[in-house]
Amino acid sequence: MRKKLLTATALTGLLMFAPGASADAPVSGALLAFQCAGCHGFNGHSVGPATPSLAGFPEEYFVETMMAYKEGTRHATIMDRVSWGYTREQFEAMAEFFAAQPYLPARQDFDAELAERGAAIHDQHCNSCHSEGGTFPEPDTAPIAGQWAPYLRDSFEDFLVHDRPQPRGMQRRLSALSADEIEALVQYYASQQDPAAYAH
Amino acid sequence: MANISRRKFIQMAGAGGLLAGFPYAASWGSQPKARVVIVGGGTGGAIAARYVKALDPSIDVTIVEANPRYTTCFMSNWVLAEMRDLDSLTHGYENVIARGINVIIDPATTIDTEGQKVLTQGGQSIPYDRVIVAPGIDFQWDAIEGYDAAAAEIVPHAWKAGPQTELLQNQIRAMDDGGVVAIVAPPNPFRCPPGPYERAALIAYYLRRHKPKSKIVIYDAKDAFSKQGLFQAGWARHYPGMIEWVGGFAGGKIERVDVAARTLYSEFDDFEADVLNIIPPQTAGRVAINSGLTDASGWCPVDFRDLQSTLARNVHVIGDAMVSSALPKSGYIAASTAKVAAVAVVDHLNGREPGTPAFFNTCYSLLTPQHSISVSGVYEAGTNAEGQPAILPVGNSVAVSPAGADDSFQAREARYAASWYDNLVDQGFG
Repeated sequence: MRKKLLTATALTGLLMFAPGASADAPVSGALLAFQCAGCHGFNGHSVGPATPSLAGFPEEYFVETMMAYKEGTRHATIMDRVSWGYTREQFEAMAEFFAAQPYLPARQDFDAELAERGAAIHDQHCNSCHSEGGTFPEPDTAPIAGQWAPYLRDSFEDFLVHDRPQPRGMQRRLSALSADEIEALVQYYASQQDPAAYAH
Repeated sequence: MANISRRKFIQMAGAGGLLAGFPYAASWGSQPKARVVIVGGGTGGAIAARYVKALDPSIDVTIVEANPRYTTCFMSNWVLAEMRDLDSLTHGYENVIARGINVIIDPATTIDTEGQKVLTQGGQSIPYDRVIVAPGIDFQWDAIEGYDAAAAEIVPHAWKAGPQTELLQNQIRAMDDGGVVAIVAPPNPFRCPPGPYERAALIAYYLRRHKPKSKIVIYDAKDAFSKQGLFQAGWARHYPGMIEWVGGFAGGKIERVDVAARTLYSEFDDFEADVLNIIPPQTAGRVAINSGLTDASGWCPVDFRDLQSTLARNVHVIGDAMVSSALPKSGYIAASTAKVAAVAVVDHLNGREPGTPAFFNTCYSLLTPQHSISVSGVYEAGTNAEGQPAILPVGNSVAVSPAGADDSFQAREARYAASWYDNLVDQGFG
């Protein structure tokens, strides 16, 4: 139902500026999402290598991530503090906006040899959940391919060192990988830069 | 289940592709629907222009700006630490123009708010239906006796980045080891509340490597400052004994300066230094004052719902020039208010009542290249305890980095600081 509503909104653009909106009305998801752009890029397309792009994030994943920050179950430097200022309903409104934006992979340098090795590691360990080489936005994950390498490294550190919540199977597989293998995965995800690969 | 979700995403991708970015219906026509003029092409002005144009491409958008290139004041302390050069903080208007936004390089002198025209130094008269005023700050010359525009050519403020930053850097480079750098910090409200204290840290970062016997003293008109606990702990950890802060209560309020003698005078004392950096008390940018948009405070009062001036019709004021409120005068807030004003202007011009605004701030300060601290906060328009319209923090969301953060946390915040810069600037100039 929510997805249907989203599709309708994206197509017609009518919902965002319904006439007669008053100061008592909820803030539009667009304006809430615009406020994220200073760190996460215009329309959620980050040009800063430490911060992820949010464009194309599945709604469920966005909302659950923000709620995890709010509830203190996900490691954060600043996102926990940010999350304290918003409600679940506001996260849902932001999520709708970001989900409607096309995902654009970051243009960045990568090590082709390591990336090839990373592709094999991905196929063996990761692809069953992060399908299509990590380009597919499963409802409970964001696309991991196409994000900035420094952000991906921090994310692996969160899973390995800072108890970021993850399925048991993922934890088991991840902790069995060497640092070199994890860097190979980072290079593989960074290497996937063809926007067409993300048009599912 | 997976298949259903995939089908929905196919629909979504299709919608996203069609509308290329913004999910709004756009009305394309040969005649502009309305003219929006933006006075000041800094961070706030450039971002406001981009959002107005993106939200409604049929609106004719024109930036009126004094300089052909803009240097961000935020991050200019990084130059003093030799982490970045000024070129990397300087941005032209090529991308702005490529988006269909007009850019007029000619300083705006006055806004004729009755006739709805922006007047420039070069004699141009630019009509508008709505104007967004983003002039940043100006200085209260002679609020510190002896410190005026001419004195600033000898003793820099470096609170607008560019030649002033270079002047300060050159003086610090020329100073002998064992010298004293004195920073005079202004009273509230002022641009970039943590800026003077980050500056002390990043000058210390340079001095520690090149002139380790030198000292920095901050003379402050205030009794407290932004991120104070974190700054003082960071100074003590990274630069033990190098940075001294003299608060207002301890006689830190400077009343007069002798620029030639490089001497500062408080009510009871005088202080000599080898390099002086005076950050004077501030007001809204001159064009706002000349146009009758400021009140007795020197800043521009606005309706917090749509940032429309309470002193003139069809005028919106954003960023540093806005009246003092809970919002800090930060680069991020310039961007935040730019978006609120852009959405409101587009609503007004399309005959819609603007919706509820939303404000958000994040600001990073460096203690070393690997140690950053941050403050962030979510704000909303509301009513204060006295029943007056106000901007208020939401819940406990205005918060700084934890005091006990480890090295990896602090290094990650430093990486976020650099990406904050990239994205903040890209919104307007990318």
